[in-house]
Amino acid sequence: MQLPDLTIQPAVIPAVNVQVTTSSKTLGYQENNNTLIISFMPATTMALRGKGTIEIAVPYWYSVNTARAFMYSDLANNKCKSDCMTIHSSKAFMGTIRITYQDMKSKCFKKTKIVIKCQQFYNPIY
Amino acid sequence: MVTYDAEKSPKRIDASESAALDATNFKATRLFAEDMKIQPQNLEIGASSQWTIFIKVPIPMELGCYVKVFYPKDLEFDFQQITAQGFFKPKRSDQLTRDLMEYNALDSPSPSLTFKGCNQFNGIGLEPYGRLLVSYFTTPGQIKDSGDFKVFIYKDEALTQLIAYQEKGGKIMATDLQPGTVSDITISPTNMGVQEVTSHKITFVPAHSFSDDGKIRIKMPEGLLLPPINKQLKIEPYGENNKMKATVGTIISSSVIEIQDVFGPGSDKTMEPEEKIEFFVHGVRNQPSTKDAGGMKVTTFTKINGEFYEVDNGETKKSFIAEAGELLPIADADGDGKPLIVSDPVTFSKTATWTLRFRAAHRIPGTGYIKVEAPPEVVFSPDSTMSGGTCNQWSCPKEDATSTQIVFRVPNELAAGQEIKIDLTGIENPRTTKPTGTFKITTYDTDKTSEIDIGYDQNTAMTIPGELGQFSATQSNVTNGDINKYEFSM
Repeated sequence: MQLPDLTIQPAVIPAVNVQVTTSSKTLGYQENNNTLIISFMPATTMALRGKGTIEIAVPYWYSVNTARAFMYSDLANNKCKSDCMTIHSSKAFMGTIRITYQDMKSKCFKKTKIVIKCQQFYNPIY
Repeated sequence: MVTYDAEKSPKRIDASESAALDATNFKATRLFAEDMKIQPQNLEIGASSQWTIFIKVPIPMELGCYVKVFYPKDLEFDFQQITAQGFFKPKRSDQLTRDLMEYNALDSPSPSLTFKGCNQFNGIGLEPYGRLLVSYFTTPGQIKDSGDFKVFIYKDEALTQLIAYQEKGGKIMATDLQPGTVSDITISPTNMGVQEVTSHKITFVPAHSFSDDGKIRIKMPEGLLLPPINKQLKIEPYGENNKMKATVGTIISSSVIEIQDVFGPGSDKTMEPEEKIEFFVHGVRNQPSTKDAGGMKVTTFTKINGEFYEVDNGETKKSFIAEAGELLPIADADGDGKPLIVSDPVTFSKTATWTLRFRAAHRIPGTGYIKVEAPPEVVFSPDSTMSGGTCNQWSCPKEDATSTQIVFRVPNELAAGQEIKIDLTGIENPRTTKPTGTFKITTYDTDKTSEIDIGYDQNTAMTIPGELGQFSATQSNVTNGDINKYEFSM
C-alpha cells in the first residue's frame, strides 16, 4: 500500500514573538562590538535532543546598483552566543547567519523566550 | 528566522514572520572635524581662490540624500561656479546649477548651501565621499583659524531625517595660512656715524590693512643696539598726512620693538591696503663699525576681540652701512703730551721709539684692531717693530706688517674717549730734518675689515742731524801765504 504523501510545513512564529534590537543606537554603526539581539519564542519547540540549527536572514545594509552588502559580515565567525544553549558555530553567508547549537537547556525548549546575541552587526543607515 | 532539527537532512521546525529592527530613534552618525578637509588653492590671507571641500562619511550611503553645508560667517563667499563629486553630486554632470542647490545667507548658525545629492552611483555605497570645488572663497584677513564648515546629511528633502552630521566641523587652520607681504622695507639713520645714538627712519608697505588698534613688530637689524627690554622708545610719525597715531614703542626683546595702537584707538582714519607707513624711532644706537647693520623684519597684526593676529610680514637681508668716526685729539697736546713723540729725533737713527697718542672716538672691542700707516719717509722694520714697543704688550699679526704699516690686535676693549698710546720700535728715522708726511690711524672691528674711526694725521720732523761716522781733513802746503789744497773726507 502506498503511503500518502504528507507535506509538513513549519510552524509560524508570529512577528510579535520576535524582537530585534542592537546594542548601538547609532545609524550606520559598524564597529565589531555592535551586537544584534534577537529574541523569539518558539512556535512549537526547539530541536529534540537539544541540538539543531537556527538560521537568521538579515537584509541588505545598502544596495547601490550592483554594489551591495548585507547587515552582517560574512567574516564574522563564531560571534553568536545565547544563555539557552551552547553555540558551537555561527557563520554568515549571503545574508544568512547559520547557528548550530547543542545542549539546549530544558527550560528553553518551548514557551520560553530565547535570546541570541551576535556581534559584528551593521546598523541600518536610514 | 528558521529553526531546524539536527537530522542528517535537517527539517524545519519553526519559521518566523519577518521582524523589523526599529531604527526610528537611532541617532545620526557623528562626523569628526578630521573627516573634512578644506583646501584653498591660495593660502595667503585675504586671497580669493577656488576651494575644495572634501568629506568622507564612515557609513554607506544610498541614493537620494540631501547635503547641507554651513560655512563660516567670517569668510567671504562669492560663488560663481561649483562642481561636485561623490554624494554632493545630484546628476551625471559635475557642474552644479543654481536650481540644484539652495543658498541661504541668513541660515542659523551661519550661511548655508544645500545640495540635492546622492544621485550618482559613483562615490556612494560603502565608502562614500563628497567633494565640492567652490569658486570663490576668500581666506581670512589674518593668520587666525577660520570658523567651522559643517556638513549635515539628510535622507529627506524636508531635512528632518538626519543621517550624519558634524558637531565640530572642518576649518582653515591658522598654521596653514600664509601672511601677506610687507614690501619696500627701509631704515636710515639721521646720523650715519658708527655707534651713534640717533633716530632711524623706518618705512614699509604692508599688503593688507589692519585694525586701528593693531600693532607693528619690528625686528631691528642685529647690528643696532637697542635700550634694555621693556624700555620705551619715542615713535614719531613722519610727514604731515601720516595716519599713524602711535608715539611710543616698547622693546620686547633684544632687537624687537613693538608699536601698539598704530592708528588709534579712536583713530578717525582707516589704513588702506598697500599704504606706506613711515616713522622715526628715537634712541637706537648705530652698529659698532662700518659693516652693514644686517637685515630687519616687519610684521603687522590686527586685533580681534582683544587678541592679535598676524597679517603681513616681510624682511630684508641688509639695511645700511654706517660711516666711520674720526679719531679725537688728545687733551694735552704739548710737551710730553704731544700726539707724536720721537724719543731720539736724530736723522737716520734706528733706535728711536716713536710714540703715537690719540683718543678713540668710539669703542674698540676686545680683539679689535688698530692699523698705523706711516708716511713714505718713515720705514718700519717689521721684524724689529713686532718684537718691541706696544707689539710686545699686545700683538701684531705678522701677515699685516709691511715697511709702511703695522696692525695691532687689541687685547681688551678700549672705551670711547679713552687715550691710547702706541709705542713703535724698529723704525728707521727719516734721513733729513724735513717734516715727515702724516701718519694715519684706523681702528677696526673684530673682523679687521670694518672701520670704527679714522684719522690722527700727525707728523713730526727730526731735529738733530745724525753724526758722521768719520771726518778728516788734509792740506797740501803748510806755508803761510801759499796757495793750498785742502781735502776733506767723511
